[in-house]
Amino acid sequence: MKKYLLYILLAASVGVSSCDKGLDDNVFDESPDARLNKTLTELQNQLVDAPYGWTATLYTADSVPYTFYFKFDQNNRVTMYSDINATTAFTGKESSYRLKSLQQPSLIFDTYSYIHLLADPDPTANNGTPGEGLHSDFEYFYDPTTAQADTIKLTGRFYGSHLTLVRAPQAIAADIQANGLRGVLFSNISRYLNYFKRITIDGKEYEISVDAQNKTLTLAWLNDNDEYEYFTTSYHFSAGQNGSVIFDEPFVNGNISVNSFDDMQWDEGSSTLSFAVNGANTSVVGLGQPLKVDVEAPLRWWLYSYDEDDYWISRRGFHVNGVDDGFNMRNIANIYSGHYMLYWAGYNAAYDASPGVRLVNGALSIYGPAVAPSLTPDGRMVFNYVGHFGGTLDAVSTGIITNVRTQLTQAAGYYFVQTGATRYDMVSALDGKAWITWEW
Amino acid sequence: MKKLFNLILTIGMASVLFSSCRRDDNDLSVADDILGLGGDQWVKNDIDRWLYDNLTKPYNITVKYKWDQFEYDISKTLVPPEESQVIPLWNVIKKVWIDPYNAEAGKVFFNKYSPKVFVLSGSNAYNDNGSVTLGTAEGGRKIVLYAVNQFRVKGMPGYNPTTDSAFIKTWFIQTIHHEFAHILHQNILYPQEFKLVNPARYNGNDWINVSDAAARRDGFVTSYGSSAFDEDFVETVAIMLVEGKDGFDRLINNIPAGTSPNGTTQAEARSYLRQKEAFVVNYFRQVWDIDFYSLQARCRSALSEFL
Repeated sequence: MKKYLLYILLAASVGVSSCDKGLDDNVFDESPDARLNKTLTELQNQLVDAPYGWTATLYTADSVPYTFYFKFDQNNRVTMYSDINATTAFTGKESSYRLKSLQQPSLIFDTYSYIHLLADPDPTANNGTPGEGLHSDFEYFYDPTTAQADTIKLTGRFYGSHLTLVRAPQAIAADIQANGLRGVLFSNISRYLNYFKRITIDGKEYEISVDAQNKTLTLAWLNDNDEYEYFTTSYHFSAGQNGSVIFDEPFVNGNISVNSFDDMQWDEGSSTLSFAVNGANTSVVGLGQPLKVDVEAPLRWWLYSYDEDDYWISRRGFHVNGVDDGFNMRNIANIYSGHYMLYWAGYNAAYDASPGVRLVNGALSIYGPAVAPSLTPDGRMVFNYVGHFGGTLDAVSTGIITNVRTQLTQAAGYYFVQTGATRYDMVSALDGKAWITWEW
Repeated sequence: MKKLFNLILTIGMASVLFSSCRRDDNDLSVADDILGLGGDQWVKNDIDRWLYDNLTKPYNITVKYKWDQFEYDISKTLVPPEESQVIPLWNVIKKVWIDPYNAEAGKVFFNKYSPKVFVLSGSNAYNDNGSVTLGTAEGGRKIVLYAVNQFRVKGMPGYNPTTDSAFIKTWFIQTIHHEFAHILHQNILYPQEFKLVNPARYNGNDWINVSDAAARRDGFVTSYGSSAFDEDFVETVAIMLVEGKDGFDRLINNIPAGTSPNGTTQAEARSYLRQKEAFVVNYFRQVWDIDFYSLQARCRSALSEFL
């Protein structure tokens, strides 16, 4: 038995020590390092050998699209434009990049530039989540199996955002260098002082509202029964040429179909935004009234609070003449950062409460007006001043809350626009230049 | 006996077979192609040259300003610094840290003990509890500096004296003095008596709930100093170097009258800080042959140029 065991051992050791290198020759014909080098060199050459650079679309992990233009050179330098804001859209910025073999061949934008504005964890950079930013990347890995001459698909290493580069034609590169990413002018719509904004498409009036942070726009119009209909789409900006806002979903109404707003123009003197829709020019007009007043909205809003025996909140108080928190409620002593104001219908039998909210010794405390509301036949709600909660504070706080009270109790009253199941915008009926958002 | 011989013979044969396929050449040229061997490569620019001439060549210090994920905490969202911030930041650090130590203690001392790798992050490092990290150090060798993109000193656009002077002191200068003092005491420890100045007042991990002002009433320069003996020692060094003699005296004199919630009187708190000051000064003189007050004057006057 022992003898057999020995032969088995012997046979096994022969097997282990065999050194036939031919077995894996057919899997790859070069070493991993050689193949990585080759991939990185090819990618480098492809990036640099685009004489007019690359246009690119970056989808953050939250699926918000951003448009970029990149021009790479052989010396690890890259110049970029982006649609993030007016500076990034019209002024190119140079920074560095390099290609590196991480777990995959990777493209790294390795010093700060526009693309990092989206990834920056500091909310002052991008209004994003502290410590997270807008869930975007500046390190991207490259899958060589997706290689195409005119398209490079990259995936972010940290958040998994997607960056797709498309080789730019000469005309687009020239247009971007001369005019920037003109579509970004569309963001000036936020500079209109009026809540209600209208455009005309094919002879019909539409109300337009824009959520610039999430890049969505909503069109509202009256149908043949004189009832509101709505269309909402996400949008992105074109890279050069036409200066367009491109709808991710086309807008179809009857026999008209709109895919984009083109040839974006902003007139600084008259503060007017205009663009072409299917080749016809239209200007955005700011107004004090909606297409149709929702006559029942004020009572609907009021009764919700009354029936629930609880209150509406407003995070940042009134938006006034183009300024969020237009009365600086943030400067009221101990203002509660969660919501600056509340409205409680039926606070007691005699009046409602619509004060500011402070956080004092760990408890919420109200400070400001009590009001009595009344409705007008044409669909406005007017608030009459009844009294003041919360005693006297310092002069600054007193001045602020007095301004809030004056606004709230203006004689013209307010229109109400329902923007969600439990969300209303209360818009000054005087001129539409002051409004407050109530949330539940 | 014969069987045993067979066994030995068989084992001998097996080992011959195992070792029978050595490569017949010593060709190492294949190693030339290993990616990243010798560090990352890029085309050098003026920033790289400035860092090399002013930091790497004289002091063997590397400043990594280009993004390299593996130098940072990979659980954090961070961004690389703006290129235009690198030289202004290091011009300040050189003048308020490198130059004073070299002038007082010489290049041999400095090059022997200084940390050798600095990594820059453009943004702050946010923690889950909402706080941010000022700087991190690893083993006396590497220091990560955060929020480099927010660094502003006098003469830079957007400099705001009321906020920026405190910011650059705590985020950058105090961090470096702090970490360098750690390296010094980890080589030769300060006297044990330092730990006996106010041992009952240390807060341990609870330091985060204590304000600097409250910590001072118990005889600590900062709340972080109240976390542990070593931190107390290096915070005392760092605050003395950042604030200068006048600033340190002012800090002690500003301790308000009365007794702290922990039962420390104003006189006791002031006395604790004066004792710690004396320990620091003696430690630098006896252990490192450095005149601390002279070093302090150099550090502070260099820093005040930028505030």
